[in-house]
Amino acid sequence: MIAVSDLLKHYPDSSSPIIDQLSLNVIAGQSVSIQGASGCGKSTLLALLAGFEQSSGGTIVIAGHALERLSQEAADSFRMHHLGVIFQQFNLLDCFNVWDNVAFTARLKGNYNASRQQTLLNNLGLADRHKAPVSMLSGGEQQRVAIARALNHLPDVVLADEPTGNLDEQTSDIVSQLLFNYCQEQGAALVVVTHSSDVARRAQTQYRLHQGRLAQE
Amino acid sequence: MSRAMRVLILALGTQLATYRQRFWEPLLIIVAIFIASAGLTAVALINAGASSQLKQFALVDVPINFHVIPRSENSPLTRSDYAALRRQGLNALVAYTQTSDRLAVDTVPLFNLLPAANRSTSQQNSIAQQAALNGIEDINQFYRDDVTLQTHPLSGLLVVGALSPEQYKLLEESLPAHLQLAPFTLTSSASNLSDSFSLNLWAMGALMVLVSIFIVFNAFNLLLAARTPVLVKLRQLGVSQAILLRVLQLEMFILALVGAVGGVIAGASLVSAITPVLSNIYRFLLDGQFSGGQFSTPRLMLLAVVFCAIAVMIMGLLIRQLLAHSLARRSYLVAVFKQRFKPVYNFWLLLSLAAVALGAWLVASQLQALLYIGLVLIAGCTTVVLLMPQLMSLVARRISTTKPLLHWSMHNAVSLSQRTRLAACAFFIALAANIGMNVMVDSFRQATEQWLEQRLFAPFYVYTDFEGDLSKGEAAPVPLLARYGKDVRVNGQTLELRSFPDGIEYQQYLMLDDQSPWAWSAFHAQRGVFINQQFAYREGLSTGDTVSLPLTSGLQAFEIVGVYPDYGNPKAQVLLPEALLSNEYALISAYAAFASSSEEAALESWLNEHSESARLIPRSTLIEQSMMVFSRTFLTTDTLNLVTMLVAALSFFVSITLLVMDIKPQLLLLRSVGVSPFRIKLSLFSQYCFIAVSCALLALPFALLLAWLLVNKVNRFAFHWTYPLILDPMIIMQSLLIGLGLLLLLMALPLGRLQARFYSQQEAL
Repeated sequence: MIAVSDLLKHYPDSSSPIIDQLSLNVIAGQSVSIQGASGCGKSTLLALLAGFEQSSGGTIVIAGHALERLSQEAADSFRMHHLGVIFQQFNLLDCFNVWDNVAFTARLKGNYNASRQQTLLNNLGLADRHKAPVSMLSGGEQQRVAIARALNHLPDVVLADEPTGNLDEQTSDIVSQLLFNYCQEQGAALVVVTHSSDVARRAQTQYRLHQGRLAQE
Repeated sequence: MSRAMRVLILALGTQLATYRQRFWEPLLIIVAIFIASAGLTAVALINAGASSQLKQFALVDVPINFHVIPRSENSPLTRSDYAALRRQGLNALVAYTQTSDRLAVDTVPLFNLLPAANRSTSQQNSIAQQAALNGIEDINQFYRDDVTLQTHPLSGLLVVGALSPEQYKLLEESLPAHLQLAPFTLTSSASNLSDSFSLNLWAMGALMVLVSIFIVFNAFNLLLAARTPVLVKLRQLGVSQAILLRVLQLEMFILALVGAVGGVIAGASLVSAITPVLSNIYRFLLDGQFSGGQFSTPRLMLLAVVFCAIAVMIMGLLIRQLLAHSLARRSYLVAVFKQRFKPVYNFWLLLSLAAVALGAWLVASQLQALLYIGLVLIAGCTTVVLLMPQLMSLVARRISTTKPLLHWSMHNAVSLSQRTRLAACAFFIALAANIGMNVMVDSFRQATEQWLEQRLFAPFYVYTDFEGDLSKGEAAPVPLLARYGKDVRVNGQTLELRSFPDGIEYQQYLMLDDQSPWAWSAFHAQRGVFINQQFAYREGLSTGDTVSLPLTSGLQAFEIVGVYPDYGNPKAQVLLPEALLSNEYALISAYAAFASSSEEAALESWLNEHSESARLIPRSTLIEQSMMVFSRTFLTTDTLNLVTMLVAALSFFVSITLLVMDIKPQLLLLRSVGVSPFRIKLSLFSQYCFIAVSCALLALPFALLLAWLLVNKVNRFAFHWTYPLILDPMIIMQSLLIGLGLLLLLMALPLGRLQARFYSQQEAL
């Protein structure tokens, strides 16, 4: 599902590349965790996988699409149909309530299903909060809404940046379990960037990013 | 250094440190205040410069038909020109000079030019008093200290008294090449239009002040919103409310000062730069002078500083309460932006708006009318603040979720509208005033044109200084109908008595607001008279009342059988049957000449034989000239109106731009889920359109109420005339579209810059 080969990312103001000849393969239904020290390039890697950033070299092929060859329109379409992204800062739509935030991606993709969404919200413990404006939610609740939104449109690939960073231990456990189970059930590839060893251990394959390269643990 | 001072400096340093990352916020706030300040300064200076020429009107009681002025600013009129002309025996010339706030005349020759019978000490004193009352100085008092002919050249030479054709020719031939003789055309009707013009200028100035207040408070509100995260953190770290308040006030004052002082300089420079253009316009249009560059800029700056200080103090009082809740950011934001308006309040709001609309009928004086306009604008702003987000929300809720981007756009627009309410108010005021004034001016224009078309029944009109009656005596080649006139004093006021032709065929040419069923029979029987609106409104007279007029035979009572509009005339007027007034007339203001085009040359020749000063003017030219004077009168106010709207639109644009920066994470999300940059821009633009159109639609009813007030109350009490309010959809649409177009054009400009930011990795993940 994800095939990364010799990926290179070099920032103009940096002497050494932040991603250096990195390769990674993730098949459908497989989960991968990436850990590493702060500033080692974890978020950059996710941004490259999501197509937010242009690589300096190498190839990224996701669901059969070579990202570097995609036009802007094609990249947009690719993200809409194949990708689910969980942002560290949630990036929720302030003007919507929980339900409309979660429904947004599915409505865009055109596969919105109310009962499926209700199940998802139930599983994430948000059933009784679906009418609440997102600005009234706690950080943990906002995190769960962001996760639900990334999963609701049934993406082929889920990219998660610290998905449980704002959750307490118990909720973190429940949410990460749901995230990993969901991806496995749906056959979605999951790439999780995390500082949490507990979350990382749930992944089928665990990597550590160091000096721009991945090392399996 | 005391602990409090150390904390203050630390807190201020922390606030200022945010400039490194988000320098746009303070910059845009400075820009908002700069725009308001520059706009206000420009309007104030143009107003002051334009008002200066109005003082000329104070001289209209002295018979002045012409004045000598320089042909260009490069060759000014000099004292030696003045002396040389007077040495040639042209003693009717009186020098005058003018600045933005001073008018001076050579009062000694002016006094000597009065008829000998009137030349008494008391008369001189009377002129001096009148001059003093009108703020006119003696020219010798004017040229003192550092004011010299080099710094302030003479503006012109008034030609006092009526000129015979020989005198006119002599004067024209005597003038040096750089001087010209020009009509001093500020007749009584122009003078009254100038009153209207002056009132409009005053209203524009007041409007700009109101708009500026909203802009400045909006800028402070934005600053406060931008500072909230830092305030919260500082409060959490133990910095007291008092310190934070001082820090915020200090920061606001510094930003306001930079913006306001810069704005004053920019506004003054702008007016100074366009002074030659404005001066030419005023000379050409109103025979007046414009000297806007001489207003005291330091005084304006001082005013700007004081205004900023007051605004900062008021804001301080408001934020003191808010700071108490700022320990948790979310609750603070909820307190500021998410205030829910209880539905029951809507009922009271709508009831109040209905009361404001109906209360307009009760306005009974000019002051009340002007205050009521302020009340209407405040009611409108209240509606924008409280009702606009609710109404927008109602619309947004009707957008189907099957169009998720549009759905988000409309909901986000509602959210944006809640945060830009103060800026929306400034735009609302400018737009409502613009539409209201355009509707008023258009109604006035149409009423005047219709009135002229109806009233001017002859194909030609003759104007002359000839003292006899050209319609009698030697037969003219075409029928001439004299308009006899006599001015009398009634209740201490001048009343014009004018004749109206007796024939039944002329009845259709007198436009009447109101008339009794027996109006024309009573008029022809010399029992009834028609009075103009000015007389009716000023004296509280109406059809059926009686008026006593001092005629040669003594005080004679007449029934008022009708009231007619008489636009542009400041004086009360009564129309009497021609047969009655022709026996005792004092002047003939004009002749109606029933000539065909082929007879024009013969009539002109006949007129030249009998009166060299006679001017034969076709009806179409008279209408054209009158309408041109009309257009000139409102040219400057139209410009000021547009400047005000541009300033308000700029402020709105700044607000929206600043707030769109806050939704960057949401825009990044849209990009992450595959929404193209073009669609995001389209979405943002649709949000701007939604907000702007909502604001414009809310402005429309208030604008129409303003127009009604201007037509039926302000005109009624200020000028003693009214006219039908004409709601021309084209004029309303045009005003709306200009306002919206300006705003949307400004808002669309920064959209082109959005794309690059979508890919910023640091912001995305």
